[in-house]
Amino acid sequence: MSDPQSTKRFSRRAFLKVAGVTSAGTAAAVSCTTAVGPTPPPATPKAVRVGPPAGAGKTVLMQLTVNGTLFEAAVDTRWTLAEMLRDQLRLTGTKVGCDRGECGSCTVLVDGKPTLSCMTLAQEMAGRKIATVEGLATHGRLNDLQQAFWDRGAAQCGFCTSGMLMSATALLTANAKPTEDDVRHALSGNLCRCTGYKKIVEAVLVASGQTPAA
Amino acid sequence: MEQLALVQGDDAEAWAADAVLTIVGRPQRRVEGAAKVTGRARYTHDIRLPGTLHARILRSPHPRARVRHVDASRALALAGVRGVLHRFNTPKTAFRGEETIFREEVRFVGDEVAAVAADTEAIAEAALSLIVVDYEVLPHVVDLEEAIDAASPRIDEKGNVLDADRYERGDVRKEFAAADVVVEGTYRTSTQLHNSLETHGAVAVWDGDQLTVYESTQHVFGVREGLRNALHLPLANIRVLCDHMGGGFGSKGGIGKYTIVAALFAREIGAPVRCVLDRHEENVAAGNRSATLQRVRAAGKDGRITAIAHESWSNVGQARWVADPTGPTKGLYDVPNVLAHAHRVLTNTGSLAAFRAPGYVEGTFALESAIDELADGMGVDPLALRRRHAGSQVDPVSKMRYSLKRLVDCYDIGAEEIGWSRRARGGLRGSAPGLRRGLGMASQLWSGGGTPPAYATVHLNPDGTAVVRIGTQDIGTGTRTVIAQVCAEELGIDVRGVRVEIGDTDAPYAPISAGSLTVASITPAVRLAAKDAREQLLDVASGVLEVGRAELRVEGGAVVSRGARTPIAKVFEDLENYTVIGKGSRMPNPDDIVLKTFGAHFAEVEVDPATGMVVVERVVAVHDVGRIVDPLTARSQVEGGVIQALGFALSEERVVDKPTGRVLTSGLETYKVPTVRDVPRIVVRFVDVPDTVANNVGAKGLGEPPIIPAAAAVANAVANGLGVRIRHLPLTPRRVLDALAAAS
Amino acid sequence: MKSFEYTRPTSVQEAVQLLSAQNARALGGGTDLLGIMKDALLPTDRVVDLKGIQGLDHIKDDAGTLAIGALARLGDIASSSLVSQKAPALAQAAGLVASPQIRNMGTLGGNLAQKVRCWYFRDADRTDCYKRNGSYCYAVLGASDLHAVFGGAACFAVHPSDTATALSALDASVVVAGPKGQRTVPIASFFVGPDTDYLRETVLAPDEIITEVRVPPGALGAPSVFLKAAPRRSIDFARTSVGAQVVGTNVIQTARIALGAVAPTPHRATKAEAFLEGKSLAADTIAQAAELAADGAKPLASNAYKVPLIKGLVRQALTALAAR
Repeated sequence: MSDPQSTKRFSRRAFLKVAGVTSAGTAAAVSCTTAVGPTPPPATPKAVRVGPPAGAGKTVLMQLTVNGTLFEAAVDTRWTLAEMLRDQLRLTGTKVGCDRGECGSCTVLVDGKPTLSCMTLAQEMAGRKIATVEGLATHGRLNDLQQAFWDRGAAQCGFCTSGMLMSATALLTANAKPTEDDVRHALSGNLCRCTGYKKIVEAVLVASGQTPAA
Repeated sequence: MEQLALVQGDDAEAWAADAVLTIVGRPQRRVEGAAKVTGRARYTHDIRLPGTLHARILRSPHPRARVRHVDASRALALAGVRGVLHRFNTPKTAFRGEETIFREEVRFVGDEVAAVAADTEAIAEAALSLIVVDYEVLPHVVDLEEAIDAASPRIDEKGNVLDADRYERGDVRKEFAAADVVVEGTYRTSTQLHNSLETHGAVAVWDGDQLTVYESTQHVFGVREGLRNALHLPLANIRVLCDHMGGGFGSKGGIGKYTIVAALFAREIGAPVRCVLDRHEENVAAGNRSATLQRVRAAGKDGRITAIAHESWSNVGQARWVADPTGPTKGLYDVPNVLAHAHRVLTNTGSLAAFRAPGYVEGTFALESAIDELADGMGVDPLALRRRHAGSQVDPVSKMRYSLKRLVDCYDIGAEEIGWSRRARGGLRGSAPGLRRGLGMASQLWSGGGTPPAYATVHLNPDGTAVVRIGTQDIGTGTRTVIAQVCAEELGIDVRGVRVEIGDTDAPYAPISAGSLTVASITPAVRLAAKDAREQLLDVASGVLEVGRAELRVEGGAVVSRGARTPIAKVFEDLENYTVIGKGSRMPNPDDIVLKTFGAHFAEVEVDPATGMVVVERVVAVHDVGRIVDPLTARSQVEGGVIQALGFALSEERVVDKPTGRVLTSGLETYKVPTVRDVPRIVVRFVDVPDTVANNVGAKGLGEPPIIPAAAAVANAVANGLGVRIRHLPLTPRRVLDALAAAS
Repeated sequence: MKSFEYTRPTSVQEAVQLLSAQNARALGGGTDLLGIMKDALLPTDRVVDLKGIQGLDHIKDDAGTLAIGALARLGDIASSSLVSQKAPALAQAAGLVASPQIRNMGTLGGNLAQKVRCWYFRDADRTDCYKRNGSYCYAVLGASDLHAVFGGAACFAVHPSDTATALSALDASVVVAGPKGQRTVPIASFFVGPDTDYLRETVLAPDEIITEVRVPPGALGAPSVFLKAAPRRSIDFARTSVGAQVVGTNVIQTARIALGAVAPTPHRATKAEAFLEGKSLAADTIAQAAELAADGAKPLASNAYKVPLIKGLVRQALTALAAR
């Protein structure tokens, strides 16, 4: 629900003005339209502006990087990162399966770490770097992990695939030659109901240049 | 009522067992794979139309109550709310035999009472709590066994227990009296929840009197039919689309109340409306596999099974059908005397929906446990006992011959692979002190022969690529891919040159993607459409190349005559946009022949009696389903079926609070779908002999078979290892520890 | 989610001041709080995001004491060689919490301060549950598979934390900061049962936060182990867990056995501990201690299985310690 007080106090122009001058670190309650992220360094390319989503209540303006692009977005303060990605940035590759952090479909990387975007407030993401499935391929070329998922039949209905890929991406970044057990541990927060676990594990091993056991 | 299916034209001869096929039968990565690994694949959840409103459903907090009054005034007053529907303001909208989507008497916690459309999902959600409903709370019963008890509240005037099906052959009573050994057991299975990762949902939008619905469904035509019945629209005014969908497992067989809610709001308000269930709703109101109570008596004499009596009771909620668990008892083994009696039991819980081999998973557990118990009683190896009743080529129910049955081959392959000869009565020592190890197996029977009607068209483009159109849908099983393979094989072009257009009711009709129907129903139609296109191409080529029609064939994207190859594009070069349109329809199944699929699963388990944990180490799954069109997707089907069955066997269980009727396990932490770390080694083997009698492709369905026997095999393995039989699934640590405590 | 005010203090003092408001709640990893807010289980008007406070995520050897900041991530604790070496039970417990994603997000402080997972409490519509300021416990007449066999009173929800169980066996203490400054609470008195206050699970006042967990030198390096029984190997909360530590070579000077998910607080098996003192971990001693560990258990209708489970896990834990 929007707080009528704050909506009155801040016009859209005002909140654009506030953005970029407030830095993180104020102890006061960050209400309404205050930017909560650090100001980007001057050298940073101009951010892509994203207006508030349709029907948004209270919004907060903040900057965050998604798949290498800096965004300056008016984020609904009640929204989760998953909602912001899917409904505001239109990055619907990230799925929401349970909305309670229990299925892993919404896994994205926040500063490189697999994170449940459905259990993360969007406004916590100020200044953070987020990677989603849409950022894995470069210029339409699948990366090795995506290619292995495709070649090995690791995507069935495909609904868990994005989350699986993000968990696996973090694993391979940290451990270029994981064992099968390492892979299973790394993917153990991602449910696949189809359930293609065996081929998913194989695909991760193949992507790391290994031959899975029969 | 007898159903008629019209078919036209002649069938193609089935590809022979020794036919040299270059695409069918070889692993093919999924044609839509790139879209899925890049996040581009669009699901119903992802449909974002400009100006979309969001609908949420108010659900009954009571397991049974009469809705006396609904006051929506406060909800309507909330800013952003665009409308409220409930039983007192909603037009009659037929839904599954009922007149309206909002019942006067709500029958379970979660039953639909009202719906709100609003600018955002959050506003719709907030408005739900502002709707005031006057309920007259009625007595309820949610537990299967309590509902059977005559003293419990009656939900239906005819009583809670309704006769569903009774079957008898031979004289069971006489054989029990004459038997050497008789075993009797009461088996229980728990309610399993589908938990497709994409929850049920629909987006509806009207353009004048034209309705378009995006729905996560296993049957776009079924949704169309449901909308026609509910809204009384001509079929031409309804289009249902399902591009990608995140699993169904039987639960997405047709229209949902949410579909009608979205369509009604969209019409009334004049904006697209999205109504998508959340995980909790999915697990209270979107269907389930019925909990069952089953009594099996089995008799043996002179080393053979002489009689089986199987009586079952299934908790169907309020459903008008039952997933009969006694199917395997009737048809799996050649046993002369069988009595099967199924009951449908009404309770105040969410109704069942088909769940991958409905009835057969539950029934196979009871039957195959009882067969093992009988074998123990007779002092016979359980596999040896089954072999004596598995070889017959005649269906014991219809007395007709099977088109193909290789069940004994499945036994041979599986027994060799698992090392069945190691099995010892009383089990084996485990890998560490105190642990117990056991081996078990079970057999599988299912249909899978497919059925008409199904139609396909194949457009051959002037460049030699093709577009197949068929109104099926890919529910994650790889349907697009097998369509492309069969089309490419028949047409003689590369599989990458085939685009598959499905998930659209504006395409030719195809049946529901359920019941292991898809491959055997649609690929023969696709093949005929491709054959039609190929023949038209050859007619054209014969004229263009001035070569006799009989000397031409299509191969590798080219028209080939003796010594000369002309690419298809070249044939069409001077014909502008001449388009070949091939048409195919699914031919009827053969008369007087029974089409079935068979299989056997073997499991090796280790049980820790100290903690009650059951660890399945290995499952060998062998199936006899005719020709394997794509070994890659076929293996995925089997692995997925086995793992879903392991969930059913070991951890998945809906828990309902009896006093309040509420589902306690509506989330994915409390409801235990297996994780990747719970998965054993799975060895998948196919008999892979084409069923050339069944249809022109020789393939049968594989969706259901792999989920059928695994739980029974695991239960038998646990009983073998532990020396204590637990007749209640899932075999949770709690049940294992309780059983061990009771046994000691 | 209902509307709330999001705040991000940069110091502990600011945080506790912000928490003094009505219905203010601390946010660590968010994996518990967001669920509570989405289901509106507890009124939440202000969220105090502690992650803006620097210096609360350390894992260090502080003059012989293992000191772990409240914001240290469970995943970092699980993979810390320092923790694995000095307090293996804690590393094992942290590594068995939920899922990799939740271990990346969740903090040690949050794991200790989380709300219960009772399926009645977590059901949004049960507004009359004790823990939601009501006056009823549905588990008593309902499905009690998850519930307490020790120490239930009115409410029978169990404490779900794996790290709490391990830390109880490690004799840890919890540093708590509030408006009046810091205090250090021994882990044995950090958790409170329903007989004290069924609305909370710890001694934390609404405007107090955990800042650090300290494992004393005496407990460090002595063999310790954590075992968890749950239906699945990932995602699940424990149905029963055990943290155990024995101090003393050959002859046990001190034994600590903490049981998780069987009581409203981590439950010390004091009879078993006393029995072990002065003995060595021989098989029959272990068996007797395991029997004693379940002493006094009073199962409800559907959790009697926890009694043999406790015995089985304690036997396995002590057997593992004997093999060190």
